[in-house]
Formats: sequence, structure tokens, C-alpha cells
Amino acid sequence: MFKFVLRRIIQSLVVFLIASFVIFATLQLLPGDPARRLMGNMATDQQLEALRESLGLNRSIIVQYFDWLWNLLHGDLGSSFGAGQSVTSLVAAALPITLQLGIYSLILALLVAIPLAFQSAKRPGGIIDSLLSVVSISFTSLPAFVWGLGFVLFFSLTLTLFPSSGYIAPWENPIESFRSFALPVVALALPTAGIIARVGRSAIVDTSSSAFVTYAKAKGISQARLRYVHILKAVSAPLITLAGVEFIFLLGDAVAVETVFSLPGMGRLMVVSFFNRDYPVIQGCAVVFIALVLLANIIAEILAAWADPRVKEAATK
Amino acid sequence: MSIEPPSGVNRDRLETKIPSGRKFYFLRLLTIPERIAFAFLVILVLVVTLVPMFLPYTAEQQNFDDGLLLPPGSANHILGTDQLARDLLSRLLLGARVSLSIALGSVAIGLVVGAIIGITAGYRGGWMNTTLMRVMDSLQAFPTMVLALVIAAGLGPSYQSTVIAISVVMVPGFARVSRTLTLRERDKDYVLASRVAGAKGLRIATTQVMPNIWAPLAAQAAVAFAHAIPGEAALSFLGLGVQPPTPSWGNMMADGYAYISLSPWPIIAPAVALALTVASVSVFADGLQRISGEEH
Repeated sequence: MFKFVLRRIIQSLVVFLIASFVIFATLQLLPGDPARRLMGNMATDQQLEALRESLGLNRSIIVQYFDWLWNLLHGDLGSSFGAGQSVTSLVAAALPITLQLGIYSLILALLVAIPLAFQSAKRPGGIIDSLLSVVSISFTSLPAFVWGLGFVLFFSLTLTLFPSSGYIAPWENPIESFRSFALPVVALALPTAGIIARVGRSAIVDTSSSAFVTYAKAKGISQARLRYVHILKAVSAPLITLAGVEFIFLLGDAVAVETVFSLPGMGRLMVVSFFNRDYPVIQGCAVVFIALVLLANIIAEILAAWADPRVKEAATK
Repeated sequence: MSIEPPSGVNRDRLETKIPSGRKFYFLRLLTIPERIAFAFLVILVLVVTLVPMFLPYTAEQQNFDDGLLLPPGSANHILGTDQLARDLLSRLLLGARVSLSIALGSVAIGLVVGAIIGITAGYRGGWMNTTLMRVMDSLQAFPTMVLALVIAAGLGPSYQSTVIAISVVMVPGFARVSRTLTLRERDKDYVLASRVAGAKGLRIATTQVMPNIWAPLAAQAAVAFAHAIPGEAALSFLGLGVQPPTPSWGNMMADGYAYISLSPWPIIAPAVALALTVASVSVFADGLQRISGEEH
């Protein structure tokens, strides 16, 4: 198992290197001169040259990339063009918000989707199954940010139950924090819940015809125990893998959802930096996002192996 | 004169397997909800291509005499007007052209590039396979919107860069599916026969492998289309995609959000259009996947 984890970490590092180079190279594609962008049209050639010198922009892109990577290893993501703040400090402030948003939404999605999946799988093709498939398709048919817009319209403006924007940390004021997270979390969770419910349903239907289910039924155990202990354990590995994949989509969807609810998370930071042409910040955020994704993948694989001995066996072979 | 199958071949089986001679025979294999979804999409395409020709307004025309943010059902404006007194129905339909053409274009580019990468990786194997698939892995390490945002930032926001951003996001999915399919076909007798006959890689890929993997790839394209539409909407909503005054469903929602406390309709119209379209595409895509035997 340890060897398997080590191998996955090395693979992830390779992927991280390629992906971070993709980010670096793409942002260099940008037409125009970054020094000119920073200093405006009034700058003289000498001033521009001096700025390029001080930012290291006159070196080759490969040198710049490795320099940036070297700083990254020391936890330094460069400094923002804007107020001269370090990108690391900006990301450190934004990351907890995005992480909370992603984790709460994933948990909510699983809590909604798994009972839905079991209900549909009870009688495949039956009335409940058809109704619930309509429900899950309608969950997935609107992107998370559009759910968010609808929630602002209905719950914030019409019913004035929840605030439409702002962030309060749970360690400052748990109740207000819950109120500020409620709408964005539900908006993010709905499309994910729809997908997990559909995939979970077919996994449960497939498993229900296994011999061990017939045996458990013959033993006379209760329906609830059969479902939530025996079958859930058998389908947990594919569900965990799916949850890992969906978490990545959640992080992507969070970009627009954070904008709708003015949550100062990583996505919002990236969008704001885009409009300020603050490329070091975009670069830093994207790299942290990739690190998160790779970490989530590894965690999902370890959890899946832990939940299902069959996966563990396949992985350690 | 009809061509008789050679004797000894079971004619019934031949006919059920290949319901040839009729176009759209796949429609008969769809369930009723899938047919409804398909019908909706056909109607949508017809409406979006034909109706704007008969509309009295352009997407950018401001009708201040009629009024700002009119509700649906107003005189002259069936769906009402937006914050600049532009006709919402015209913007919705012309925006649909923009949104749907971006989705279609990016799926097409993603499909072609992804299939080339996937078939090459699958057919060649070895270091080519490892390199190409590692690059695909690293593209998939991005949350989709983050990759699209980086590309849009690199290229500057426009119609073209939206297409490029979404198609890059699509490539790994297509590459993976076509690689798996190619691996399955690669060692089959007909490919071997073609190789024995002296055909080289490119010829085998186009004349032998492609015809046998296109159906699941088409189903995958339908699934990707259902992701591309919200992708465009999100990018344009954030201001990173289609730029105003050109309407798209995404930037219409962004406009509407700024005036959400005054009138909800500029958001509701594109949101409903988006939801119906995505729902129909995904239901139809499910049917295609089932028919092509690639249901997951």
C-alpha cells in the first residue's frame, strides 16, 4: 500500500510539473509586453528596460519557469502586480473559503444523492425511479452558478431569508457563517448530487443482483441494514472515486458561484485578477488549484482502497 | 433489383442487425423521453436559425420609447426588455446562436484533436502513448473553469478564445475514449488483415479503426455538448467569454444579475432556455450512449 501511494505521489508530481508549465506558457502567450502593461504608455524605453530587468522578464521563458518553480518550492508564489502583496498571502486568505465551500457541498451532495440512489434502485424502471431520474436530470441541467442566481432571487430578494453575498468565518460567528454559506453550498451541491445519484443508482442496481445480497436477504436481515451496510459497503469504492472526480468539478464550478455570492475565495480572486491583468495571481491560484486536485485524487484513491479490499488488491499488485 | 445475401446467411438476423435503407433508424431505438428531447432539439435548431430573420428588432437595438426592464407580455416585446431596453426575445434567440455555435465549435475541435491524440496513443502504444496520456492527465488536473480561465486570460476574452478554451477542456475526454476504443479494435482480425495487406498507420486509422469507433465517439460528443453549453455560459457570465454587446446566454445572465433587484426576467429567460437545452441534450446523449453500447 505504501509503495502504491508513493508511486501515485511521484506520478502526481510529473503531472504537476507539466500542468504548471502549461499555465506558465499560456500566460506568456498573452499579446503585448507585461512591462508596458504595468507602467502604461507614458513610460520611456529606459524605464521599461529597468522594470524588465528587475522583474526578470528579459530572460528566456524556460529560465523564468524554473526560477518561478524554485520559488514555489519555498512557498513563494511571487508578488501581485496590484498592491505589491505576495501572492502566497492572497491565496492563503482565499483558500480556506474555497475549501470550505467545496467540502461542505460535496458532503451535502453525498447526503442527498445516496438516499436518492437507493430509493431509485429499489425498483428499477418503476414510478419512483422515473420520478427521481427526472429530479436528478433537473439538478444537473442547470449549472451551479445559475442555481445560485435563482437562489439569490428567491431566498435573498423575495423571502429575505439568507444574505446574497459576503463571507463570515465559522470560527468568528458560526450562525452567521452558516447563513452566508447556505445558498452557495446548496447551489454547488445540486448538480453534483444529480450526477452522484445517477451513477450510484446504476451501481446499486448492478450490486443488488449479486449472490451476497441474495444470501443476506435469505438470512433475514432488515432492508435498512441490507442497504446501508451490505450494499453501501460494496458500492462505496466507485462512489468514493466518483466523489473525488466530482470534487474537482465542484472547485471549477465554485469560480462562478463565488462570483455570484461575492465570496472572496480562490475563484473570485482569479476573476478579479483577470480584470486587473494581475497575471502572477492567476498563475499562483491555478497552481494551487492543481495541487488541490492532485491531492484530492490521491486521497480518493486511498479511501477507495481502504473501503474496498478488491481495489486495494488491484492497486498493490 | 435487390441484392440477395449469400445463401447460408440468416436473413432475419441480417435485417435486424442492420435496419439499413432508412435514415435516422436510430430514432426507433430511442425511448419516448429521448425522442421528445430529440424533437425539442430539432425545433430549437429550426427556431434559432429561422425565427430571428422575422424579428422586428436586432439584438443590440435599444427601444427606449417602449421602456426599460419591461416584464414579459408587454406590447411589442413578448419576453419584455432588458436594462438597455433591448428586446429580450431577440437577444435570447440571437444569443442562442452565439452560445450554441460556441458549444458546437468547441466540441468539434475537441473531438477531432482528442480523437487524433487518442487513436495515435492507442495504436502506437509505447512512449508515444505514455507521453500523450501524461499530457492529457495534466490537462485533466485542472478544474475545468480554471483551465478555461487561464486560456481566456492568455488569449484575451473573445468569441474565438472561448471556443479554444472550452475545446482544450474537451480534448482529454475524447482522447481517453478514443484511446480505449482503439485499444479494443487494434488487435482485431480486420486490422491485422489490413496490415498484412500492407496498409500503414494513417490508412488503418482512417479506413479501418475510425469507422468502427465513431458511434461511441458521437455519443461522447453529445455528452460533451451538454457540458460545453454551461461552460460557455459560465465564462461569459464572468466576463471572460463573449463580450457585450453581442448577446450570449451567459452574458445575458451577467447583465440581468446587475439589475436583479429591479427585474428577474432578464435572468429567467436565458436560464430557462439553458436548462431546457442542457436537459434535452443530456437525455438524448444518454440514448445515444445506450445505443452505441457505451453506457457507463
